Amino acid sequence: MSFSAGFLEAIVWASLVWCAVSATGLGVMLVRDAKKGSIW
Amino acid sequence: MTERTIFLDPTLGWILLAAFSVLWVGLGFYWGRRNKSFEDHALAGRNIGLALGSATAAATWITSNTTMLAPQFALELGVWGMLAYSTASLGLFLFAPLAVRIRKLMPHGYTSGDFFRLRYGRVAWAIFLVFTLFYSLTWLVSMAMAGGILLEALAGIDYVWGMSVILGVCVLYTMRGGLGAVIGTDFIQTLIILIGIVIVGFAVLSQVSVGEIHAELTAHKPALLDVLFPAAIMAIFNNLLFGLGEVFHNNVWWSRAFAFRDGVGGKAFLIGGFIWLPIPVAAGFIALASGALGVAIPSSDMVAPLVIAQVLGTAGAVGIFIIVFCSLASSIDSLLAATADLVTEDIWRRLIRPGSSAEHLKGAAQWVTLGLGLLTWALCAPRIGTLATVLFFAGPLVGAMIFPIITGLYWRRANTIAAVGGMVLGAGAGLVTYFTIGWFVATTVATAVSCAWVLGACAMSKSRFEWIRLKEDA
Amino acid sequence: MIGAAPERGSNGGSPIKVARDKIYARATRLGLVPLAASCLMAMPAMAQDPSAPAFTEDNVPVIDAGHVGFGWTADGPVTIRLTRDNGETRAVFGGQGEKLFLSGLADGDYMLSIAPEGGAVSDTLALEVRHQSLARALWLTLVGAVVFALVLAVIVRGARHD
Repeated sequence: MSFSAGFLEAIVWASLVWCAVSATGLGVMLVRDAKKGSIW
Repeated sequence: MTERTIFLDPTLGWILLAAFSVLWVGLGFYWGRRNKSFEDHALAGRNIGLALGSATAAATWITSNTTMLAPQFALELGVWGMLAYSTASLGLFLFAPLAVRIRKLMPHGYTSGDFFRLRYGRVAWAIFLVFTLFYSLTWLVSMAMAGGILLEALAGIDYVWGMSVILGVCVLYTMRGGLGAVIGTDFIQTLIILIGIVIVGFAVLSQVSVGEIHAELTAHKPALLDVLFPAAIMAIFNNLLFGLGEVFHNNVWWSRAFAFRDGVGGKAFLIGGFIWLPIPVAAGFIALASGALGVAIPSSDMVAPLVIAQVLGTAGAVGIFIIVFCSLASSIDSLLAATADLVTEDIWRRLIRPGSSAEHLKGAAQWVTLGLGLLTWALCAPRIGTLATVLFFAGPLVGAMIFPIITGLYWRRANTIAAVGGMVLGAGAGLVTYFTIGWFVATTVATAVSCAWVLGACAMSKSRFEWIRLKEDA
Repeated sequence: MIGAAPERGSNGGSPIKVARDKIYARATRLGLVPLAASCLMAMPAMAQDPSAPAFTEDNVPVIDAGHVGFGWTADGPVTIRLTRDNGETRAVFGGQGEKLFLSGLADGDYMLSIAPEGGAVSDTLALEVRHQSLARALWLTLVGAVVFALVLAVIVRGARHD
């Protein structure tokens, strides 16, 4: 029993897009915290 | 490690090293100006917001192991290897509720040592200190050694110089800026690592499709796609439990639970877990592409730089250099800060100088950071290869601490006999199986034995702990 | 995080010897076992020319995780081929180098052969791949899953009361 090409395709693309979204999300969160003056 | 495989001109390597060193040290000094007391220095004033909190949870968990070992894991254990590695994010997910609980039970706490001392007494505290200092120091040493070895392999920078610069830079900004500087730089380092991984991933996919990678694996490396690959499926829970043990006990994570603003801890660890989750797959799959790209791998630990240099040339080599430097710094600084605070609070303040002022403690923490840095340097300088493998003894030790910690945080009937027995028996059984059967069972066995003892001792216990005693330190 | 497996079994800790010692040792052994004399005839280059490409390992312990690292000594570029017990053969390396890492090998017996580029085979190395017991792996996975479920239960129940 082997992992299919479709499964590999899905986890690779999802993980890359996920990383990109994480980076963007972190930036947005920092800006939001900064606007509230509550970074630390 | 193939020391001869050099990807970058040493001059360029030194320029990059110098530029990032100046950046981190400068930020450390800048942010350090805000610190007045030990609380400011060790816990950044207990006021870290959500963005920095989430980033630091993820960044500290992204070590050179994540960015360099995930590809190695994928190359050796295939698809399951990457997925098994991703389960380490469960450590962050499950620490989210624990962080909320810790903050509630111990609003004035400083370290995970405080918890063991107040909850289980001095014997359990002593065992905890031995286990955690062993773990922290070997992690620190393995990280600094990895730094020296990688810089030498990537840019031909001499091992001792590379290791000294990375360690020296981290000691300087951690000493000067405390946890605030560590968390601030962690944010920048997380962004750099994430963006780097995404760029590299898409660059690899622009040269070879996932379908081609799969076809090549099916033809030549079928075990890497096997759903029932024995070595890989054994790694799943062993790694998962190792990760839980690391996060649950170590002061790196507890100090963050104390440092985050009220209400931030739970969310920050949850988001940190989500940020971390895809990284082993995103960074690891490039190793699976090595065959389809026709890259010959001389040793498995060099697979990532080799594939990236093949795909992106010099730009890729610069990228991997920066990613590696950031992943190393984001973990070394956290370990230095958290371990120095543990030694300052649990040994200096509790055992040697009980009456120390807040100002004095901040100074002591800075000197302890320096001392810890020098000790690490002295252990790394002779470059004893086997030293890094000692780290893997830590699996049983940290696994054996999982149940004493979670029951101690949630159950009033958890007691000293349960905790001490769980830690000693679990670690003992784990180490025995490490040598008799293999690494792949050690943590699982340690956690299982500790679990059985702790649950049994708690079930028979008549004592009921008063939570108020954890607030004693106010 | 550090919770990953230490690298195991790639070289099985076998000491790296210089090619000459190895050839001597093998010649001695072949001399003692007449049946193997045909092997010696199949590798004339090795016996005659000590500078011919040769693997640095004499033998590799049984490979239980499907991956193996090995090295060789050679003056110039080499071609390394991997032949499986079913007769399937393919080149795994071509060019200048000194070591190689292979992974993902399925159960079976393999033979690695090394030759100078465009020349005759000068050395071979047998690989035996026998993956660890699947039954044991599944049992350990089950134990791990139960322990993890208990961790989860303690935390989830506790957090709900919080």
